[in-house]
Amino acid sequence: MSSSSSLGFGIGLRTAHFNTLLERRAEVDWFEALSENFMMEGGRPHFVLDRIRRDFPIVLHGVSLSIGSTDPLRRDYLDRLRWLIERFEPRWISDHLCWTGVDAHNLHDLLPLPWNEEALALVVSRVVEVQDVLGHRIALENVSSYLAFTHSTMSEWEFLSEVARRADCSILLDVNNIYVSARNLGFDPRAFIDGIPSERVVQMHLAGHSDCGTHLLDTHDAAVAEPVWELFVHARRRLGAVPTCIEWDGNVPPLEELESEVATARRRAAEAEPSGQPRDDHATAAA
Amino acid sequence: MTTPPPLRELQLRLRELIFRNGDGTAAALERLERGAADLPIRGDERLSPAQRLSIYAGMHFLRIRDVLAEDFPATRAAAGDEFDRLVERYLDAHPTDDPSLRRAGRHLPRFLERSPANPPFAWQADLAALEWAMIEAFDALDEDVLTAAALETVAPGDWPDLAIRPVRSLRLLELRFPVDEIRADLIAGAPPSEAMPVELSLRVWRQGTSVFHRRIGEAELRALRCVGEGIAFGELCAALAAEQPADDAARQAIGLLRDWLSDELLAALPTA
Repeated sequence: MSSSSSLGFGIGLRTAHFNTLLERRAEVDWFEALSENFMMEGGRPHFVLDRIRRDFPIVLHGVSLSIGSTDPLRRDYLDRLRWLIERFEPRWISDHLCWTGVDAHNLHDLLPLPWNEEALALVVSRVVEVQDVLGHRIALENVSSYLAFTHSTMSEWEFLSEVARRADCSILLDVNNIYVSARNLGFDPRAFIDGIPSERVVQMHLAGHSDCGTHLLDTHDAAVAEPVWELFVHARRRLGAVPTCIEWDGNVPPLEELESEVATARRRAAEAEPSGQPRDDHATAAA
Repeated sequence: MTTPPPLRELQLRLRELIFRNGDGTAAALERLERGAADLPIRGDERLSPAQRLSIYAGMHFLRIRDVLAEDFPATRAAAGDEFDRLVERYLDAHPTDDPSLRRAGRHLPRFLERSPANPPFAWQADLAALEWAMIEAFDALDEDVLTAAALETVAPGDWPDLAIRPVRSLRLLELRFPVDEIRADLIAGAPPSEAMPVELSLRVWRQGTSVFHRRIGEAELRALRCVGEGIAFGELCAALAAEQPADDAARQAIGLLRDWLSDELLAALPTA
């Protein structure tokens, strides 16, 4: 795997766009593929990803590493991930700072951890083990949260920063998740961004969410909301031209709408530049 | 306030609460309130700890239900409004254990054998078996297929020992109901109805990036099973000849071979 420098703006690769992507070149700079969607032995998803790889850089993004679980790491999952890395040669790989199951039961949800020393020691040791098995550095992403624990002793961004420092891993900063969690749990989203070590951030995520009245839900089924764009501009000012990916998972619109979101991301990113011009030359930590 | 539990215990208790209470009912929220009472979860004026847990519980159920609905579209259509209840019972019997949601439905055909949906159509387990075979065929390993041109290079004397094998996407199903037709009707929007039992064999396979299924006779089923065991072409002919004159068996073997080549059902010969 290589450096994330100058990748620009990408989108999440989704089945709904497979046909269009086989017919024409997308107006994006790169693609993010969900690791678990390609863990089968072959078939159409592999065929499409091979075609995409001919024209675009790709990265792999997982949802089932369960780095915060108290279960042993699943070696079969890591073996499958390592096979995928060798097969598709992504620029880098990422997963989430969360747990998805326990006692061999996978809930397929991104569940929050208490931000304390017990969880920190567990996550750090598991990231080190994962990176040893895979032979590559991984990036961890902050998740959207709907609850917080009373026995947390630090903030989420302090926890994430400390994991990255102790385990020598990278960070995938999901700007929408920061906004959703900040609204749900009552913290300042800019403090999150300001508290992250910029040299560790290899990628950013943007997505839409739903307002349920009492809380925001990370639904990935709508355009990026204006407050999230404003937070994105703030993140670009602080972190530079970090490769940025638009995620859209529910009610997936035609590819043109995703391309329009990418164009908006380019425009909003330019707002962060003193000259008002886009910049794509940010070199980040090599995986 | 009680001492917060260790992380392991906390995760086990949260798992139980989220897994068991995703139906959004008042009873589920009541169970969550009882279960969350001594857990270290912060509540506020907008949402109590139990209401916050219920967000996760609801999302967990909906995520898996949507995957199963996508992988088993005809089974879902047949179950109609009862599909959610079917998924609840299925997940209770088979909690998801695989990192990939793509594998979540692999026990559904056998589950329906033992525990029918409501209404309990006799064909529903066969239908789920067909839909799962299509998923497996779709995801099977890519490989080069045997072509007529490659067979032309085989010397006549080498034919009896020629080892042929099916592509890895091939699935053979022996069913009791015409679920290929039932599936097509349900996908087209027809209401489910009872069907007369009929013994039926199907082969399911992937050609390029598309999955197909086709009814096959008893002879082809037997022949494909033999080929699946890796027997040589000569042995295949001998097996077919066991129940008919040798000339008829040879003609049948050639006919089957022609169909299989056309459908890209055989894997390329190993290179020397």
